[in-house]
Amino acid sequence: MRKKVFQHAGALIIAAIILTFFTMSWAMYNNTAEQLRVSVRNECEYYRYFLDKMGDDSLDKPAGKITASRVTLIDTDGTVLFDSVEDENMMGNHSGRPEVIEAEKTGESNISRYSETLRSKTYYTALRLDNGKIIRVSLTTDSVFGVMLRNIWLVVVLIAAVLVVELLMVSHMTKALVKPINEIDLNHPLDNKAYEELSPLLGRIHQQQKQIQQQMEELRHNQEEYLAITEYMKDGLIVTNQSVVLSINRSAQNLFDVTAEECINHNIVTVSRNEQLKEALDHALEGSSEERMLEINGRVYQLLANPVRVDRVVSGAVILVLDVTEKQKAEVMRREFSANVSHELKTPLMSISGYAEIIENNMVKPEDIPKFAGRIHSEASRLSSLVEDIIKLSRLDENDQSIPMEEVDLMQICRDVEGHLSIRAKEQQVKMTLRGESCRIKGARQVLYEMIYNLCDNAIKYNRRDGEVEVTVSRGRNGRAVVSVADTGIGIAKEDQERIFERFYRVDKSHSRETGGTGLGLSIVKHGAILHDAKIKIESTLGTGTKIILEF
Amino acid sequence: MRERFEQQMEILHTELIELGALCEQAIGRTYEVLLEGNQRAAEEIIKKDQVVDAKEREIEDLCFRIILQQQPVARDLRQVSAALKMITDMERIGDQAADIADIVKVTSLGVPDASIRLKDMAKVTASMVTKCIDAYVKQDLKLAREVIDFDDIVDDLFDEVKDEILQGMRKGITTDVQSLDYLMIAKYYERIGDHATNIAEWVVYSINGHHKGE
Repeated sequence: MRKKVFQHAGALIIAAIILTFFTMSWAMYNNTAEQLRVSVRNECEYYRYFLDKMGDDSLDKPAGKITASRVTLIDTDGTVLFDSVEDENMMGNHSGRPEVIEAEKTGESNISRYSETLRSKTYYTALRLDNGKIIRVSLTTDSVFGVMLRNIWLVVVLIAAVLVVELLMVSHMTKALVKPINEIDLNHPLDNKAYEELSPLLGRIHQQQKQIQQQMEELRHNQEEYLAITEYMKDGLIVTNQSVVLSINRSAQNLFDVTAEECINHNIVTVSRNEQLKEALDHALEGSSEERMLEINGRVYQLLANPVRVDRVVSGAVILVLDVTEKQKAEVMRREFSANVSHELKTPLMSISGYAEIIENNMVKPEDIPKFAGRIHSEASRLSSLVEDIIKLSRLDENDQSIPMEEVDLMQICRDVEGHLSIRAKEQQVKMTLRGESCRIKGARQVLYEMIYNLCDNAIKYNRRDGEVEVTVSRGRNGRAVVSVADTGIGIAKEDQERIFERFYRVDKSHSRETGGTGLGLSIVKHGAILHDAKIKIESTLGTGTKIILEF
Repeated sequence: MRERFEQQMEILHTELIELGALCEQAIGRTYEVLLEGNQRAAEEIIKKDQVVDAKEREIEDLCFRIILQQQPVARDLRQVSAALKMITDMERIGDQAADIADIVKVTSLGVPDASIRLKDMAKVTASMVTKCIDAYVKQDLKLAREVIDFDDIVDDLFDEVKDEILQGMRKGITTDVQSLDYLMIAKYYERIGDHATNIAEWVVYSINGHHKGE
């Protein structure tokens, strides 16, 4: 800026100096030239006057020396009679000179002529004397160009001086000018009052700052949101570009036992050397979505790798790792259950159709038909109770909300169960006793009945002869209602205690047919307990008996 | 220039891990092959060995190129030279895994139930290979030293396996040919353990410049 100002101001000043110099020189010169002309003419008039009075001879060398002007007397034929500067004999004929010609013609001539170099100018005045001779006075001075040329050093000195002064001035001025601009507080552009001319600029800066701040805020918000989602999600998430890992969330770090610093900006192999992961990523980077299963530390993970496209070019990939261990377990259980159900349903059906076929083919003696019909009947009722149990279970499974909850008395339910099972207990020669107090809880009457019924049924079924079943209803120390069913039966082995609540699980597989039952009883108990938020405890010793405690 | 060097070092790091992963998979598979006598898996191991060899040459090339073009010094040079040594060991692991697979493929022998020690050996050496590569990836001194300490366990195991094979021969559980094959397999595992130890030692060297406790 300083340079520019210096250049512009310098050019302006130099131009002004030169222009002033020329015009001043011109004007001054014109003024002096006029005076010169007049004085040359006056001088010539004097000479004419005196020569006319005193004759030509009075003009001699000393007279010519008096003035600075050159005096020449020319004869009528043009020969020079006298000259105050040069030897008149050496000078040629002057009759051809314009001033002489004009003076002969008109009696007077005023002429000026430049020298060959233009540096000087000569003023001539020629007058005709009475005797016809011509007196000429000339004076040579510097021409306008000569004056200028002679004074040009003055201009140069002036310009140099002015430039030095200008340099100092400009430097000081620009400093003073720029200082307030440099001191503008750009963080608060509107608070500055440096120059009025700058206020539109400052206004725009203020606006842009506001915009930038807004966008930054938005970006930070998005970033936080992204972090909150990815860092706290249960599933592993890895984002990569074509060559290196860009981000890896906490779950993925824990899963692959790495830290973010170890793998960010490094190849995926630093995260895990798992073949499946690498292959899935390679496919994703080629543009196709991939789904794989991984096994890490005994847990099963589903790996989803998807390409990220920017302008239709795959620029990276997103890998999601989901823990599907539970899901897979559930899937296996579901598959086992359906296999079991079909098997359990098929067995009684096969017997029924077998007996019916024998009767159809007249292979049964008429007196045996009631026996066969009885078998068909018992198998059919087994089938129907099985279907009933499955329906109950699936209802418990399906939707816990739809079962109505009400105030029920556990003692009352136990009494009902005892009433229903007393005949069977007598058949099995098992003594059934009910003890305890009335306990009211909130629950589903039908479900609670099924639970206690199944427990008591098992207690009778798996009892020894002359055994005992003791049902107790009480309120526990923590205020929870407790129902316990204790028997003196065969007991359950430790390793089986975990599994008896599984569907169709039987401790003694070979004798299950004899004792009857569907294999779903304890499953119903378990699901009923889940519905009521109840805990199930088993205390059992093989051979001496089992006690199952429900804590509501 | 420095940027290009760092780029090359990163590639070297990645390639080395990839080669390590290949060895890890190969030795992991030999375990399956040994337990289940899976012929197809054996074929795969043998085929993969060629990939291992190719990768080794590729990394070797890269190492030489780095040394010639960049003239690394100090820690950088240590890393490159350690890499050069490590790939040789890795390549040997790949070869020996292929050799084990070869024996199983030709003789189709499963591991006799009595030979529990051989199974242990396979398991321990596989974990050693995994750990030494982990140590490299994470530049973990502690893990590398752990692998080095494991070498004695593998050596002891080899003696036990030898005893076991001898017992099997004497009792007539295994034939002479089978016994020889088992011995070979056990020896290969023992060698793999040695190579894993070597790799771990080079990892230590690349980290702190001390080789074999010098």
